[in-house]
Amino acid sequence: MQPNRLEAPPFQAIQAFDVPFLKQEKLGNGIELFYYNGGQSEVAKIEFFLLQANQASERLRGQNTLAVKMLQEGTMRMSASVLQEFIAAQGAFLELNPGHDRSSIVLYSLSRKLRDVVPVVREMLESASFNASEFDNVCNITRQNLKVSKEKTSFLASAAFREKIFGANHPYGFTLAPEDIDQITLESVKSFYPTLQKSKLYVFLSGKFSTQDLDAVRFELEKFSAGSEQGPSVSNSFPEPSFSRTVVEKSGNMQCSLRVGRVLFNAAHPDYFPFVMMNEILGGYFGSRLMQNLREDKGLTYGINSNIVSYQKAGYFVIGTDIKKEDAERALDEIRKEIELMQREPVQSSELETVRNYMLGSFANSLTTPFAIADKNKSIVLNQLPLDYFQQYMHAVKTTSPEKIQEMAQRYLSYSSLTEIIGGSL
Amino acid sequence: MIQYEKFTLSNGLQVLVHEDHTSPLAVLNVLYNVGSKDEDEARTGFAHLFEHLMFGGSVNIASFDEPLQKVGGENNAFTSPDLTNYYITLPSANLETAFWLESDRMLSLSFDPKVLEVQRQVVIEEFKQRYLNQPYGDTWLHMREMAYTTHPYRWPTIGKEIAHIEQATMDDVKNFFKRFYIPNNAILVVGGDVAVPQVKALAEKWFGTIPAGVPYRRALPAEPVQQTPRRKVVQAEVPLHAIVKAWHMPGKLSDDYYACDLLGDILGRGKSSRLYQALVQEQKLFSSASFFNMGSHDPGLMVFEGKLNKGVRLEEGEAAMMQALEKALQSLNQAELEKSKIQAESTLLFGEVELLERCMNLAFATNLGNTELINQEVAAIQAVQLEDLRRVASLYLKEECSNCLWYQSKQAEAAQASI
Repeated sequence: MQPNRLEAPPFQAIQAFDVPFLKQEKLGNGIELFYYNGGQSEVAKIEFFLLQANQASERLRGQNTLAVKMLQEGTMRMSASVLQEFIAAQGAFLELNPGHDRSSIVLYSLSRKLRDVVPVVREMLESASFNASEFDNVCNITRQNLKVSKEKTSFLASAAFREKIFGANHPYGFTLAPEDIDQITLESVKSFYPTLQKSKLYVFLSGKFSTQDLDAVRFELEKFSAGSEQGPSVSNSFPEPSFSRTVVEKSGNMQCSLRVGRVLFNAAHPDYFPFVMMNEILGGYFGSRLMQNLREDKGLTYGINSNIVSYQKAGYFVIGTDIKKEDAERALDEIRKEIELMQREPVQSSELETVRNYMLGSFANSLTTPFAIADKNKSIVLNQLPLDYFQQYMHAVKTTSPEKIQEMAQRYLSYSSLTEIIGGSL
Repeated sequence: MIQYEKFTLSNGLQVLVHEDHTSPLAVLNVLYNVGSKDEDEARTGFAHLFEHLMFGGSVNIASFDEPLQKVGGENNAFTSPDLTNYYITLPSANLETAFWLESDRMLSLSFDPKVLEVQRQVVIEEFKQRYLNQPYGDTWLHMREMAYTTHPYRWPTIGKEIAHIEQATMDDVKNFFKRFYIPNNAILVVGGDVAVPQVKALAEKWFGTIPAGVPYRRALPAEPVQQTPRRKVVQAEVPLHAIVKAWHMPGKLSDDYYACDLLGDILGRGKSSRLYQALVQEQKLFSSASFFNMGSHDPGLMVFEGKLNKGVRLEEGEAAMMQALEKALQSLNQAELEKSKIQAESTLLFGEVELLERCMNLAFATNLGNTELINQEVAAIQAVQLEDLRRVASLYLKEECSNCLWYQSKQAEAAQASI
């Protein structure tokens, strides 16, 4: 017998749930250690955060990025090759993430090998050699990669967008160019090392590990001569949002990459959650209005999304898509129409119910691994958000009214405040 | 060890259940045993275009995505040369919604002409976005065509050319559905906060009544053994010259598969690998260098990929690469075999962290003909000996079986010409 396929099975709305928090310890040397033990696979991720913002003025573009990259290029005791060979021989993977507000060193490791690989990070932070020949190589690779990136319309559009909304001289606003690498010297990069060394260290450990593994990590961490400085943060002054349209010329392109958006507050702002709701409806998920209109109805693009990015001192909102050249104007028109609709009419209850349930389900689904649980919590710790932040988030998802959502579009998305970028020649 | 239970419905649908009650979430994954290798050479890209159509409404349900979003679920899908895989993650309390949606589109699609027209355009834009509007984006269009003369790995999943996607008709869509989207050509994996009896009942209820189809018997032409090296030069507006060189290797079920895989890791996985050390770190001829295996079911490829530094000529780069390769193969040692094994172990374990990945891996192994392969991989990796590496190196990495692509930068050529 066929089941009744015409009617959807009954379902339960998703209730708010507890997000596991991390265990926290302050070590004798000032290191803040956070950990979460869970999962089934005996592997772990350990991430070291250096709370040192990128202070680079125009003159020193790339100083922070290259200083962080050089950490794995050899120490007083080990050459770059020896260091990388050692990490690989433990089955571990090392990742360096130079960032605007802070940078991090990440190790993915078998849990039983943590005790062997953590000391390498100490060496990187205490006695990196800043070898000249390795430096030339790193510069060269970085320069070559940037040249390849500059052939991508998406890269050009994003770079131009951030430059426009944050200003070319703000660390949030500039993107490293191959010419910046030509300017920078080893001396200047090396001079940033003491600043990194003086930085306070936050360490996040997650995965499935034994008490012995944890004790060993703690023992190794206590040997670090960690700093205590937070360093000055970046400036919080940005250009006033205003409408502009910029075409970043690049010939030979089949598609253009579009960016529409503006500078915005960060995750600590009282309007953040309602804005997140508005963003979700507009372009935050596959069922969003932009995706349904431009992709599922008109077939203009493979995908279109809107996003909110949150930094320490600000954030931004951006809509992005890659589109056939001939359709670029039409896509920009449709984007404008969807924003205007969001401003003009409150969202209907059925659409809102879908979005609420989708967001809660997707939030639950983003917390299924120990790594994800640590990652989510780390944003609370590093951005000094309230401890009940996720409860507040779930509450907002369940209760934000259609009028409040409409108000967000009216207050923040007036077209006179939006920057438009067309990456690639029309 | 990944635990699972397996049963088969009377219509031939294979079902696997993997319980994990850590979070109140469930995964429903359906793999169809059809990939781009099952396409006709004159109508490539179809398996992938079809994957898009699977989201355009089924016989009883107008929209696939919306009802799922309404119950807090997410979904996606992908197509490869070997298979097509659809997956849903949702709160376990709403598991039945996933059964309802997924079974209805196995029963029949809506075959709405508008969906075909729109998704045809979407896929054409995807083709451009991912393959044509990217520097080096068409590399594998060239490589596949050169390395395969006969086997349908000759074309990429996205298709050989946009024209094939433009020509697809609704009749093609219907025939494809009838031929491949049948319960006896599919594998269902349900994982997470679920129970075996519950899954048995739901599978029977929603999938049990879908009629079986004519079993698909795959009979693909085997790629003949390559006798002479092949080369191709392409020119493009890219900033750097690049070299891609590929050698044929056996398929996933071959005894030599893991030896080839570990050999590839030793040669070109990460910064401590032989070719990276020689070409990037020491000789500084390349700005990137890697060596990997394509991981295909049928006999696949071992591949070197590298980008040349400014001022280095392509012939110089290839010669240096071949020299470094030869040197590495002559001096393979136990320590690097151990390194590649522990890296492989680590990668396997990291790959089992996510519930969704475990469910997919169960489906992939089952599709290869033996679910238990998933728990035998560690032993297969451990069993590889140094002499296996040497043997597969001399067996497969032969010049006459190689395919080399010079991806020439017009800019770099112009600069060299003006010197």
